[in-house]
Amino acid sequence: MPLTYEPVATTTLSTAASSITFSSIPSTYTDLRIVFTGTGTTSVGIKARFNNDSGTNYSYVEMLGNGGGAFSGRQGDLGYFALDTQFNLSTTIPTIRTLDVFSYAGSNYKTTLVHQSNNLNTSGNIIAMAHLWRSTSAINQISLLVFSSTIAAGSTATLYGIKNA
Amino acid sequence: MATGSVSPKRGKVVNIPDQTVTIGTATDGGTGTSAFVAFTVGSVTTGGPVNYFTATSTPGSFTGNASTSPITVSGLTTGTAYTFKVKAGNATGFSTAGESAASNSLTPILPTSFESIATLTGTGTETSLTFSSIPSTYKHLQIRFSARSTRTNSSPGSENLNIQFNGDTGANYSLHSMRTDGAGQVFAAGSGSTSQINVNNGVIASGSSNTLVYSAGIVDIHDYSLSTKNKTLSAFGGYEFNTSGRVALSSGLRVNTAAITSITLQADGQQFASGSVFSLYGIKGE
Repeated sequence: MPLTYEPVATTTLSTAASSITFSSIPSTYTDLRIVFTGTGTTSVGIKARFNNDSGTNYSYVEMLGNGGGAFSGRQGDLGYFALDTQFNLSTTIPTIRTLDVFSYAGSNYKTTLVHQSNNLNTSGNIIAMAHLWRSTSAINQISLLVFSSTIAAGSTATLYGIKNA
Repeated sequence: MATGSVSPKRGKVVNIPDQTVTIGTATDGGTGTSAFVAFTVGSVTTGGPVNYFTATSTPGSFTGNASTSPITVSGLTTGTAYTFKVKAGNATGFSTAGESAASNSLTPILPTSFESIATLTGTGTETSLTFSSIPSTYKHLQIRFSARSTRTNSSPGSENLNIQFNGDTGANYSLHSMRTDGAGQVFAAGSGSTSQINVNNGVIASGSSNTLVYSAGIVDIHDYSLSTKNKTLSAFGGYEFNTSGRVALSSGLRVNTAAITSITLQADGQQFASGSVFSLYGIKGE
């Protein structure tokens, strides 16, 4: 029987890699949470995919503040969750991405709330996002990935399961 | 002279009871390595008195003793499933009626600081859902939800998620929020002396199309049981339809120091669609 809030898996990269993947995710929780903190070997954008789906089934709406103003944006029909809309991974200072995936094992489309915290001392922003994956499949795999570069060694991602009453 | 069976100890007459025991429910002992074993007893017709009851686990044969129900059995292994049997006894020995039947299977788990309290689900008929009799034993509360309304006269659309505490419909709330639909502008709003907290400003998805889209949200209610503070909440929620969406951050206040014992959720008079789920969690402090 799962605990109410428990870590399911943690990956800390010992060497740089193009992705961090959580697979064989059990369907026994209500929601999932992923917390990523890390850097890139280059200043590269980080993205996410569910069940290795690379189809244009993802979309988002976001609002952000960068200390100079508040902004918003949205995109539809993407081939991934964009976790890098306004800020790539730094090569020196870890930044944070938190993904809350709701009713991930259910038969509706999957809504995810994302929080980004990016602060490099001289620049940064904070971003709140709502994402949609247009699939009725239960999520059994979540990948954090970068294209044409790698996530740096030492970066960490933890998958948590949250179970309701 | 006492009646009953005779002890094998030479020269000593003792009484062994014939107490029957009916097993009850085994529950987690709250330590990760213990269990509470409940039971009930029948009458003693011969022998007696019964001085104690012993529960024994399978596997492992871990035991615990008590004079009344429940019995605490310690020394268990976290994550291992156990059943228990109970028997009566006194200084002479155990009851001639033998052990009870086996209990339900119980797997001890480690106590956590984040516990599930209750879950409410929409069926398509409710204009409000209420968490009631909320225990005061936590420090903070969190509501996590996946929801939409049944309204179909806009496509896509949204409702406000409104929250009231303890059935209070008076002008005792205030809120501030920021939200966007992604079209370039971020809107800010604030209201005082309202009759409810409008959390997340139009964040419950609705409409006749995209019925597979459910909004998501997290509402944190801080120090909910303290009688020295007004009650504050913070919330993050949103939805996405691929062609439109909304994301919002909110803070709310109830100007009242009474501990929160109930939370009512409404969607602007609309009904919560089937499949809407609101889960209440308790967060412990040190």
